[in-house]
Amino acid sequence: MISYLKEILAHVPADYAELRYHERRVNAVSVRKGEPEAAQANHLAGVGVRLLDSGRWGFSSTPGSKRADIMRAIGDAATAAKAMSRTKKNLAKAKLAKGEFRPPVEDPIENHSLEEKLKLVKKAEAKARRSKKVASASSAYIEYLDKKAIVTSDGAAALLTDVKPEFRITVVAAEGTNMVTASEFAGVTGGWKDLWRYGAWEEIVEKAVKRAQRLLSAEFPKGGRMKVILSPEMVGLISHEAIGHTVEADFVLSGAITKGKIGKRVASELVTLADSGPSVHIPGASGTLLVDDEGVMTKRTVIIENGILKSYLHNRESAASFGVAPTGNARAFEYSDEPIIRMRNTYIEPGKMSLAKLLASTDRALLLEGAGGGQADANAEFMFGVQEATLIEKGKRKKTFRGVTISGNAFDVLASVDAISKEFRWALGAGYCGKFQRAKVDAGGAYVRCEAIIGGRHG
Amino acid sequence: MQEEPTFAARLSSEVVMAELVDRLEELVRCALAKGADQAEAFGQRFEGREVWLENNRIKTAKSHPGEGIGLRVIKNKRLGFASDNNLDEANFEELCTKALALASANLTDKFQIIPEPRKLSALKGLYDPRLAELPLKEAIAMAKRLLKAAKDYDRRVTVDSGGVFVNTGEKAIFNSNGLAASEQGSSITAMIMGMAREADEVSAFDFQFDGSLRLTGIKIEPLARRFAQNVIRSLGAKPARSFKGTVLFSPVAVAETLLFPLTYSINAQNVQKGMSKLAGKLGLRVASAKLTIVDDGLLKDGIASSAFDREGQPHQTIKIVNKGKLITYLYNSYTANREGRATTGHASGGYRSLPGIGTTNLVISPGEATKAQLIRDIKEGILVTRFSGNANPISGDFSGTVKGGFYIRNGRLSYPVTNTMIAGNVFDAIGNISGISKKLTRVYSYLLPYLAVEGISITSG
Repeated sequence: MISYLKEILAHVPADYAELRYHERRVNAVSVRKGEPEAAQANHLAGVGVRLLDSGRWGFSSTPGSKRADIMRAIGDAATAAKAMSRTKKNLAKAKLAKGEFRPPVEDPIENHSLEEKLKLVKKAEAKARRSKKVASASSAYIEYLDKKAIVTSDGAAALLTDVKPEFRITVVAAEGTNMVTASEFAGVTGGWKDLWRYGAWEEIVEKAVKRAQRLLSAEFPKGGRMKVILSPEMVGLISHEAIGHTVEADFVLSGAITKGKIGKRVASELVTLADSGPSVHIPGASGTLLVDDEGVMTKRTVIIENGILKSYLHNRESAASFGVAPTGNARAFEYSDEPIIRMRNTYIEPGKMSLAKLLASTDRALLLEGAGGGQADANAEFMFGVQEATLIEKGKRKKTFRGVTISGNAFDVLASVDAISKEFRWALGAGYCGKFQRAKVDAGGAYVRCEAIIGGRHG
Repeated sequence: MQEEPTFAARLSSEVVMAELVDRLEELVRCALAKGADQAEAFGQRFEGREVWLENNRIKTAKSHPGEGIGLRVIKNKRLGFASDNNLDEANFEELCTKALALASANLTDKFQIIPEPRKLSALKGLYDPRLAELPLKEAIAMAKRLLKAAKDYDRRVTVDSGGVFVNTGEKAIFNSNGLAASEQGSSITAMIMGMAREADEVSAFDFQFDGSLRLTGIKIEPLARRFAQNVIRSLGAKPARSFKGTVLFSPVAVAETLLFPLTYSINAQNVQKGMSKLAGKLGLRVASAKLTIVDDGLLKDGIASSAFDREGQPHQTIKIVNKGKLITYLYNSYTANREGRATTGHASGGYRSLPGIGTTNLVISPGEATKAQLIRDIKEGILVTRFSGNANPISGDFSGTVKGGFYIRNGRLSYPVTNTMIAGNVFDAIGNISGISKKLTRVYSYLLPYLAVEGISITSG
């Protein structure tokens, strides 16, 4: 495929051109309340064409990989470029990928039949529903199997293989009209054995069931500013949504709050926050990306180091306009998407204190666990749902709350950090990011104690 | 934002899309020959043109042709599904084999069904050849107008993102019960998102949307002005106070806060699986008598209008809530079969997935008041132009930040608010509606009014 694409690329009249063949297989099985919901296999293959001519970008794509179709897409991309205004655009020099790349895999998922995966999902759902007070449950297994070939006119030539499986369980507990939900998941880049790195499926189900049961009798909290302890999933959510997006160079250029703040203090000196293509600390993070979709080798990019803003996240174009090296953050979800600046695995580095010590030294705080949905703006203001909040008083767990949301300005929250645990995990393995197109991302970190606004109810 | 194209369409007996239907028939025959008891093939061909705005300029323009085919099979009461983004007949053999392999691995489900053909009525005026022929250059010009109108309104406006999107294409379906149908369609949508900046202050984000099936149906400048006005007005925001009061939801905020739990809970699948708070409430009062909700798959110039659903079943105009009373849930043929009733024609989705259940053009029926009258009736409350937060679809609990809001005191918009959260329950909220505007605004495939709701918790400070 590489030499085939290279040969076609040689005939493209543009300052820069990039051909990206992407074949994806998605297999999914799911069961809800004892009945099958989906058993499906999707196949998707095509070529995305991007070119830069006189400072004008053009993009197009075609299903399949026939020469005539790719040539037509090249023509469409050239037409699109010509319709744009002329600008001065450069691409930063980058360490371009050449050769074959695949993340480490333990026990390939292809060695496990779909029957086995379906059986597991069925057992997981049944186990949840056998539990006390559980009215309904659903479980799903999804796997992405990707093959890519990326060639650029300035020398990238990479063949990539990537596999990302994920497992989910959602539990509905009910008592009369009182209904609550809890969900848990596992998601990695890797194989079958990697998927159960943080616990077997039985433990994952048990965790969701127990949480739903607790939430059933939980109260709603009073709103207000207070001390909180963020679990790795909440740390990941804030790192990705509320900090990460504000340092994506395209958002910076359009006026995100981090504009002009490189080298300045933006968080407590305890905080080091990074976005990494390779999975650091623990292998298998689900946002793992060895080569980005511009053919650039990825690495660990430190965004905030000891509280000081160090770097934005770049593609080749933004890196050139900032005069820095690309960080390997150009990503496209499918062949028909053009690469844009996206995160990979975003996290806060662990500290030195044990979680036990962190809890014991806490006078009064809410421990926030289980990420819910949420959003953040370019000014780093965020609002996220939390599945479960536990009141910690003098180091002891006192009471569970439900319906909790956390909000604030993420940089204010990070400035208030006074303790970080040494325990670390990747915590959003089943996560997707939506920014014009989807991306498989991961996020996580350590336990972080800080201040935030808790949304509650007034009587 | 732009997923698979949801093109509304023209059903036309004389327009020949026989070629696509023939291909689907061949795939269905292949599945039957390999042992399927029943089979259904759904095919799409589309051409998308997208112009994206970013950071006050045109970011990219692209055109992309696409196609795809999805095959659903039932064998021994077991379901299997496979799809490919290529209509090439060379893939058919593998598609059939995969779908059947999945079916034999699956659990038995006696309610699995491929529906019978039903009479379809033609829809007119839903396809605009000018959209099909619109050059990318013209779409770029429209995006430039959108940008210019926003910046001309006030230089402090920053357009963060947005764009103009044109979709044209055809869809077709064929099944082993002899159902065959096809449609051609087109749509244009535009959206704009961003904020205002003044010195160090960054206002809240605002989002506005417009869409039509006709090129002339979209109003670029008014869209830009709605957006620009909202972000400029939200400059100088300060916290209000914490209280329980009236929230006046804008159409966008209605979509962001109330609609997801409601559409989730009227989905027959969720009702049947014990995941709906509206289960067992048919014929009962579930909302204020002021509230009527209609789903209209045949709506004139509706973004989601189409003669038939993902299973080839006719769309219809159907009241979901009538004067506060719950009239029906939304069904596809599987969920209908479980209850021994007819589908309501709400099978949703594209070629890549099994038919789900979804609304078409959802309309909250207009009330009698103007927006100004609604504000005048509020003693103390908040106007919410955008909501950013969580609404739990099962419990109905919602909680989140007011993005672009105004404190209302004694019937007047007092000042823009920041650091303000609202919380409540959607199913309680629809019982406490005190006012509905007579003007409706298009938000995606919804047509929504301003809604005034009493007794919402507001936390600010």
